[in-house]
Amino acid sequence: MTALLGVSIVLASLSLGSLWIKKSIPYDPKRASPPVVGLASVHTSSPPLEDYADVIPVINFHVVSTREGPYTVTPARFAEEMAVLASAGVHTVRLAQIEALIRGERVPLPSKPVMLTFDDGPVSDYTAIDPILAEHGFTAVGFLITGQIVGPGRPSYYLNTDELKALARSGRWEFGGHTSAQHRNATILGDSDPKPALINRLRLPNGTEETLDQWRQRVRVDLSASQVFFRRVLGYSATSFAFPFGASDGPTNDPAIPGQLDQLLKGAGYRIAFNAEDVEDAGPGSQAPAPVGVSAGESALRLPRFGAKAQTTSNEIIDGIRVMTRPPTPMNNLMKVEWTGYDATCQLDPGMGLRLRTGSYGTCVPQVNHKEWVNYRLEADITGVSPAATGIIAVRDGDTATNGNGGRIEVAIGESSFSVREQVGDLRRTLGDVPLDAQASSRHFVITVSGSRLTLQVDGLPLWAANIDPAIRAGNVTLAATVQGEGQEVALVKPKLSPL
Amino acid sequence: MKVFRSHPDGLLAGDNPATPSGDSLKPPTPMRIATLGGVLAICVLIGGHVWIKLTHLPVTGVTALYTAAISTYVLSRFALAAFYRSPRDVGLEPTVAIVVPAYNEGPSIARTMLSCLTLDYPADKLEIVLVNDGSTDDTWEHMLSALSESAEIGAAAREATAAPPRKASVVQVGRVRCINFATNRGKRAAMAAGIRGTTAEILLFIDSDSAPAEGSLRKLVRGFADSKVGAISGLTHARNARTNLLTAMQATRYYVSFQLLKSAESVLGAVVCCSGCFAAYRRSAVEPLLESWENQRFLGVACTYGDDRALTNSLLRSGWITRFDCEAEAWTDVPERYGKFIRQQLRWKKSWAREGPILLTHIWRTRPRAFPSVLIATLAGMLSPLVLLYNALEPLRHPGTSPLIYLIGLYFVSVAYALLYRGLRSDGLWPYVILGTWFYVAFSAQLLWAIVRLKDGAWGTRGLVGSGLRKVPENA
Repeated sequence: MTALLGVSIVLASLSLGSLWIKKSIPYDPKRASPPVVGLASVHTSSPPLEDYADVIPVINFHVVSTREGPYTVTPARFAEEMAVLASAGVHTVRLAQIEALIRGERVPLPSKPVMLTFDDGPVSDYTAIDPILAEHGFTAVGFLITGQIVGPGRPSYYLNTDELKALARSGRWEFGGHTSAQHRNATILGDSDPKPALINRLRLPNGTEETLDQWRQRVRVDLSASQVFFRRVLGYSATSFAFPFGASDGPTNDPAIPGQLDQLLKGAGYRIAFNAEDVEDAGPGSQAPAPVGVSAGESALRLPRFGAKAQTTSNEIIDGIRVMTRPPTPMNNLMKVEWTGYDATCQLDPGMGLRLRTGSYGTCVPQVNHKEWVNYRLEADITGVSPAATGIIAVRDGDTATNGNGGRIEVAIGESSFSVREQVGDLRRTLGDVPLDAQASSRHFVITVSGSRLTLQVDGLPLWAANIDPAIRAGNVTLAATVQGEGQEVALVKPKLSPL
Repeated sequence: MKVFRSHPDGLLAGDNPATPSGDSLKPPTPMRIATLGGVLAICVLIGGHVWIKLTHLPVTGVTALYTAAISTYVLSRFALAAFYRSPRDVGLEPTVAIVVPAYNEGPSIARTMLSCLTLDYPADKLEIVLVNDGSTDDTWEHMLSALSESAEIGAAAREATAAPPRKASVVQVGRVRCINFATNRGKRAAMAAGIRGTTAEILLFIDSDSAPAEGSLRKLVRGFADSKVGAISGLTHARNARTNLLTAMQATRYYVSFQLLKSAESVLGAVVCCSGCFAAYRRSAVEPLLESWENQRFLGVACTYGDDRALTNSLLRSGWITRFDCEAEAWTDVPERYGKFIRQQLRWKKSWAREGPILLTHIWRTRPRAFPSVLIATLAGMLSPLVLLYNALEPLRHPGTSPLIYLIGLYFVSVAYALLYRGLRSDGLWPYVILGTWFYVAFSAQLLWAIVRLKDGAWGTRGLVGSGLRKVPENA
């Protein structure tokens, strides 16, 4: 019996011994040395980045790792991206500078300023990202899901408090909030798709819907927990915030939430907030609006960003900066700007105008900075309209408060009627359907947008007017067409754009 | 309590055996080598664990320092004990006085006296001093009648004690001296009176229910050949080890403590407690300290418990060396009931909590090489209840954490102790070392209560101040 006991103790000891040693090794991932970058192969395919002023492009990353994932950038690629940025002459700026800029203060900025942000607070901030930033003298802002930050020695996808303190001590990193525990999609009533928890009234365990008061309470407690964390670990309250999923205004099931969330953020001590976690440059085939940089007068709690993802190339980041820093384009002759087609060929015919050809649905977008295109009047003829082809003119396209999701007002002109719609994020609303008394393949129209008022005059018909969503603040003029069958062409003839 | 008697393998079965000496239970060489290998493997494992903790110091933080300190202490005990050798016998035969304080012992005092008289030691060099500390029972009568029954003392004694002077304070017959206190004055006063009543070179302290093994007294005194040695502790076994689970755990705990801790301390020349159940002190070392020891006060309260630890501590402070002799064995009874055990543990922990800090105030200069281990043992001992509570509560606070590392570490320490036991002693009790280690760790939280009750002088086991009985050694 004692022999049996002895043998089992020996066996238990052998297995426990290895378990003990394994378990006692604390999770202390080492910092990787920065990968070596061969710039020669990367650099040449993009033209040099020119200087720009009064605007700061903000580029957002998530995690840098060799694991696969849509937001996961490999260390090699991240190192290359930072090397490309450095060799393009980019300098990073701090939160105080971007705050001063949006307040319109004269703030000394380095040449080609950018801000680098890193959402969520994964451990790669410490292990992979920081060593590469250090190599180039770059600074960063980390937006932490504070409830995920663990104590020292605990295995975690996220940072631990020691690593966090080390980053803060390095002087390279500033930190902001990304909620404590609201970075999740949760069930709401009447929708099978989970929605961002921060901006939705959730389904409660008893099956009822959270009231607005309960939502407010949940968010207030969460924001306060984050600030308690920051004071405890870093010794100061955070002043910047990033919306989980970049979702500030939608999708939400209560239109009161975005405004109230702003109040709660201010109450918690956040002065600026970023959205658009993953807005990319509108590449071919993309319906996303072009990314924009942060400049004076920007809405402080809706600062736009450009999201660099697993597939984003270094050249796309440089191109993104170029797009974000374009100087505002004056409203003059639309025939002098460059138009880019998405699922369409767009051809400028000096005698006639812009000709759009597409197989089914296509868009022509002028490559301009339309940041200052707020109140304006567009007058033109549209031709080629038929039962098989509808021309769609969009105004204030792209630059809405929701930014990441886009927004616009569309005027669709068909052979026998016109229709006006507005879109904010995913929400579409028809403002009016108006029949036209005679069939015609060509129409003359005048559209004005001023404040939240839209007017439209088609041919000699009486003036048609509607109120539009104030969120659709400013934006581009675009031409789109839906057609049936090949060989259809819709054209915008002699467009005249003038400010009001 | 007796359920373990029916253990199929005979553990705890049957009556308590006679008191075999260490040699008769010595395991065969292959077993000794195997267990030694096991202990070494666990020491390497613990060393590796400490290495990991220290190389990850920024992450592991202050808990790593605790782990490193306590592990180094445990490893150092094994390492030092490996160098332990019993004192050499150079034929020293000093005069010895056995001092036995007694309070309400009843008839058992007679048995103690007679067993002292039969000790294997030259009769002209051994005297016995019994002190009745104002017993309320018939202890004094039993002392006197034992005197008259003693065959050795003979007819003259019987005559002298035929009509015993009931109120006499000192009765001396032959080499036995009985001292009577009219009132209870406490154990220290009784011992001090006994010490003052003899001129023998060596004082032997022995509990009334302790019985030295054959030849143990000769072995115990041989270490005094080194003139710097002030006290020597013997090795005390539990006589009632096989009575129940509690006594079996205590018995194995005693053995491991003596063979590991006291051996290691002996190598450093600073056995911090030469326990009252079987230890010898040099009278010339004790005499100058007697007054202050007898009247020791701590936090403004007279010290009643922890007399042996306090006396050893005083000797160390005066610069004396203290040693342990593993071949000088004795047998004693340990508590068989949990209530009594708990009160005894409380008393020991109180004396440890008092004498530990006192020891620290001088050991750095009186015996510098023992200082690091005394420091770690004291600090870690004080912290151990907190560490236990921390490891128990942390998983509640942070659901991700588990006390697994702590528990496995404890398991390995307990197995190392069990291997040591198995390698030194073939009595089948080694599994109780593992159980006992966990049992005693669970009891470490009692230290907090002991510190709270530090100023309370009550004896505990009997609820009376100054009982003469000390059952078992300190530091076990």
